[in-house]
Amino acid sequence: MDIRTKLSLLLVAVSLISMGLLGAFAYRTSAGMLQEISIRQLDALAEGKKRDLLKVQQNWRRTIHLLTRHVVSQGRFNGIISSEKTAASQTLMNLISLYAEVNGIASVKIFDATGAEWVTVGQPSLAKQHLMPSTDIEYRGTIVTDAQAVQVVMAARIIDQGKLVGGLELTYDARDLISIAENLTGLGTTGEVLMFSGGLEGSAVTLLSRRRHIGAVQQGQKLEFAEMSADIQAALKNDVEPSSQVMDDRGQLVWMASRYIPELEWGLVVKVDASEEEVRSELLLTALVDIGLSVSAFAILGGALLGLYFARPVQQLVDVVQRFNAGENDVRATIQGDDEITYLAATLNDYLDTVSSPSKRTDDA
Amino acid sequence: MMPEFLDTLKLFGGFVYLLMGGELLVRGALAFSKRTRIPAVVVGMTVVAMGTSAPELMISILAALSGHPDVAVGNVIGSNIANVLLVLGVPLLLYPIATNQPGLRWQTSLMIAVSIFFIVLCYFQPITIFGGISLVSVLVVFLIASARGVAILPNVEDAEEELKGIGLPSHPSTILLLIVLGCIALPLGADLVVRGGVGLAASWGIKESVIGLSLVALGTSLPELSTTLVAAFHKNSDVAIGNVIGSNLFNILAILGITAILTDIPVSADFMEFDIWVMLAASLTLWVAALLKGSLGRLMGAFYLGSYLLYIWILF
Repeated sequence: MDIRTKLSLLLVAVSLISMGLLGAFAYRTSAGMLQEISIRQLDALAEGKKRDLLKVQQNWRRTIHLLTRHVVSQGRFNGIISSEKTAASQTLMNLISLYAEVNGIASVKIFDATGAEWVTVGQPSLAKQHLMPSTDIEYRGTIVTDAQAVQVVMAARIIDQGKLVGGLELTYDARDLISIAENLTGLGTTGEVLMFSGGLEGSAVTLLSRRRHIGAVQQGQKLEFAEMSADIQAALKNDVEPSSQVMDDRGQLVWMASRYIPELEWGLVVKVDASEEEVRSELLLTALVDIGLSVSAFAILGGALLGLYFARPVQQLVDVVQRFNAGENDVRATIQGDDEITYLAATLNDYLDTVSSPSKRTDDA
Repeated sequence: MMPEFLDTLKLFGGFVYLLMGGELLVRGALAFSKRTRIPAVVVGMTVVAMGTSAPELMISILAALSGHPDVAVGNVIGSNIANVLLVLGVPLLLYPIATNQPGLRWQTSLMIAVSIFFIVLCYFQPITIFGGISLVSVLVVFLIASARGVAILPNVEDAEEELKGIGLPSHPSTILLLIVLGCIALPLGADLVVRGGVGLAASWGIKESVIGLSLVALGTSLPELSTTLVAAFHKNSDVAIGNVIGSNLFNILAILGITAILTDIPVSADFMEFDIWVMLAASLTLWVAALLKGSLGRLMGAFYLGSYLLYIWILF
């Protein structure tokens, strides 16, 4: 193999090894940073959505509080109830209807201190006994109707002149909440926000949000807590650290952040398929490999040029020897520079002088 | 800016790998031929001829298979244009080329016939496996005819000279290493060129065909340009015309033929409107020069080079 090829191959091998080591370090560091940034983004998204959900929930609390005040302000509650369908009672009902319509309330139920129902506006979903709330305002539960609508039920005490006179139960349409969950901005093509209600160990869990993945558990579907993946279970009990090694209910590896909202007993999971997130790392890897290979091309050129630089004087020496063998006794190598090849050329010239000198030729004869 | 830089780097690196791969493959194959005592003429028509065209072949195959047929076709048409207008044009500025060489009229006529056949195939695009087989068949026929001395195929270099070359390895493991490294470097380089070219086309907002016709074609024609330039400096430009005709024939018959056998090649309407006719016109000038049996001088060199620059300007 000639010097040029040897040098080119050697330099490109050294270059590729160096690039490989540098690339491996750069890839590991950058991929780790990319993962960290992505997980932080997921965590920030989860936190943002939790805050949005809490705002909606606070809005509901304000609404029920205001409605309770309206009910009380219409007159003495007991008086209205006892007067049955009086004008005041009718005015109150009209007010409630209007209020429900404006505030996206699916149904309103008012009951007296004994739990006996006094008036109902709309179609209540929870047809249970009217227990008096244990606190001024109480979250009663989340339901998914047959039409796959998510509703949230809250109840409040009605206190008139310091005396507990009855209760109010509102069923809210949870569209606002679901729209927060179904906003997938920043979640790529595989990302999802899952909202689960329930979550106490041993109980069923209901998925409240719609899924984008066909075949996955869908909105309104109930799941046994034990059926959920361990990571989702953890997310339904408490806030967990965002992670990049989580299996979701589809058995897919996902990068996930979660929040628990104790006021609603909701678990919020923000996740993206790991395969989608890893595409960025793969792009980075491809770019690094391309750069490494392309930059190594300079080593090939360098090797070829160095090879030519070294091979040319050697080739000249070969020419000198061949011409001398052909009978050109006067031919000598050019001595230029002070490297080993020059030393070789000088030695060759000395040798040729000796061989071609008349005394040497006479001795040989 | 960054993707553009990366794509340019890929394009540059790809060409270097292609050159190195082709060189290693040819040297390895030559050493193998020398060791196994395969006749020099067979080596010349197979190893040397195909080995030197390996970069273009690899680019076209890879581009067509990876869904960039415009790069594949553009590479062939652009290379043929660059071969005549640039690779002949530049040395002509240095030293004239005689066109009364034996067999040149026949060779240029063959080039025109093959170019017209190529245009017909493009007209009935896509170029399918049948088109590919017919192109390769024409090549095989002429290779056999050349081997038997019935025809003279240009650019089938004197393999005996190549076999005498210094630096051919003799140890079997070194021969194998060169062939293996050549086989690795060629597709690697082609992949870098295709992805770099496609990336640049996207960055600059131009069609992939333009990149194929200009940058990729120019890059694959650079070895021929350097060979003819060196020949011109040694006042031996006459070999340039044979190299150009041989390269153009191989581009259509072998490169496009083999690529079409592997996958159908759709031909963009843009090529049919302009570029393919530039290719034919450039080939016709050589044919006319061969018919007139004179010599091509500096004026023609300036005309060729000016035409090439104008063509590239129109492309962009």
